[in-house]
Amino acid sequence: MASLSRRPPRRRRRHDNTIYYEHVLVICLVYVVLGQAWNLVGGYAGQWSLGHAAFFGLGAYTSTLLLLRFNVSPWLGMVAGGFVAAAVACAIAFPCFKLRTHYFAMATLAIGETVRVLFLASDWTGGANGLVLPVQRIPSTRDMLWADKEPYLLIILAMAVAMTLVIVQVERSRLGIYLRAINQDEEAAARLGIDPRRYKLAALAGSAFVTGMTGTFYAQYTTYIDPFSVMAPMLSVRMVLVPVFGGLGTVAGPIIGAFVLIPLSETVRVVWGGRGIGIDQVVYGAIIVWLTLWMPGGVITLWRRRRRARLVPRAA
Amino acid sequence: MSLLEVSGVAKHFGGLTALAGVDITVEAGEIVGLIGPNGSGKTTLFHCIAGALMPDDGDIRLHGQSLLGVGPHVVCARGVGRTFQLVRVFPQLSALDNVLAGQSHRAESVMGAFAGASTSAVRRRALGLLEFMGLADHASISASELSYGQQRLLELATVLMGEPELILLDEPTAGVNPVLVDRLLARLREINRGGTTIVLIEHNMEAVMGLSSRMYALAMGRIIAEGPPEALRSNPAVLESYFGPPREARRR
Repeated sequence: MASLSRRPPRRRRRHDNTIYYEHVLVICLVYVVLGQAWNLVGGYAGQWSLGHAAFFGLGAYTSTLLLLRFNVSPWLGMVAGGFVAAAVACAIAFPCFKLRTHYFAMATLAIGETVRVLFLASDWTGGANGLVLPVQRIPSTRDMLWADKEPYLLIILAMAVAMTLVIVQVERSRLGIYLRAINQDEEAAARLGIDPRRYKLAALAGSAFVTGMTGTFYAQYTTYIDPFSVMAPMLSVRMVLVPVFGGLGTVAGPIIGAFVLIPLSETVRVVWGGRGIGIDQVVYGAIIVWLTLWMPGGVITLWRRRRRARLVPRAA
Repeated sequence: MSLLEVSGVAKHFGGLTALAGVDITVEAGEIVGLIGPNGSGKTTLFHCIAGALMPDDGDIRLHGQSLLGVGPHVVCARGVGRTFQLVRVFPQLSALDNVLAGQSHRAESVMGAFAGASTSAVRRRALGLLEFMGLADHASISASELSYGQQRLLELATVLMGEPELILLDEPTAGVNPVLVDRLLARLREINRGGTTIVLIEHNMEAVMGLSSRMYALAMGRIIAEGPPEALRSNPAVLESYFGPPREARRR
């Protein structure tokens, strides 16, 4: 015992986790942008798309192919990716907008999967092997490739702020009223002169444009893409989960959702992910179920509940 | 030229004939009542006029211009507003936002709608309509928190916000308490005095006969009578459509 007590205190090993934390922050901000983009069409216009991963992947592939095959800068490729995603969204919209609620969700899920399988089968897009960005050019501002995470952090932060400001403007503008009216009763909105197809199309195209641009950013950030990483159905589910968990049809919802769910997912992965039996996913899922049951309208309802509790004091 | 001309409109749902060649005309500034027992085709006729249903036959003209084949939003843009049989307001929007949703959308682009909030003049007009309907104190309350009668008044204010020339009202007094019915009828008279033409479906005979200058009676998808309210009150065909054939006829 005495010898043990005389042992010198263990020196805590210093880990520099900054890079990891920066990575988590980048992914949080990616999901803020994706969540806000999905919120525009799902939360405000009420069109539950489960195929947004296709737009994300189209953005990623467009800029990457333009860079690899035609040496086009990803800064331009990002805009091109947005336009390709928006164009595909418009093409999808015409048949799918005839469908309502869960039928629309099922159709978009099927289209998302179709796009993924097409990319998987195509040699031109690298098939299942995917595409590797020209990492040998790092660092290159022209090619949006850096060794450090700070430049990526700045880009995605700017995108998250810009997209949030867009949603703030939607909320303040007449467009916000029209979209929410369409969401709540499409027929009643139409009899007031609101053209549901036009506004839903605009919301879907805008949402797909931003999702496509975020896909480009993600490709540049990870320097490798394949249909499994940028077009997976799980990616679409996460894009839905973030605003739904935070608060659907609200500005703060996707921000709260991203900053709760992504760190939570990372935490359970770090703590339980090493066991190799998927226990981290079980814990992650169970926590989400518990939180959703506790706050059915999203985390944002906590604030509303507290405000209501202040306004309506409990009876003695 | 009449404001609204409906000529030979027919609508079938499979084997069921909802409308079998209906003709009605509405002049500008009138209040026209549309009565008939349940299932006579009144609401189907409204759906056809408002662009929610496409007639199988016939024509519908507003100021001589056909309304066939255009969507409800286009019919609204041409000056026809409508309310539904069961109130349809936007429950999660405030009363004021409900009325603002009804502002004129003629030639408004998506970017235009995105670029700005409603102007102060439009907001003042919306608040004025809420005041007109006695709902000014409820402007910031969700529509779902209003009573059914108040929602009826809100729906009417929402439709009026688009400044329609013609309003189609589907049973505006149904489910509304008597105090609010009186307010509603008074407002309808005022709206009509302001130059808006009204066509209303109504089962409250006292209300519809007191309000209308002319009436049509529908039964089995056909117009069975037309004329001033007093004439329809004692019209045998109208009475038969509601109460069945007279006793002597049944005995035979």
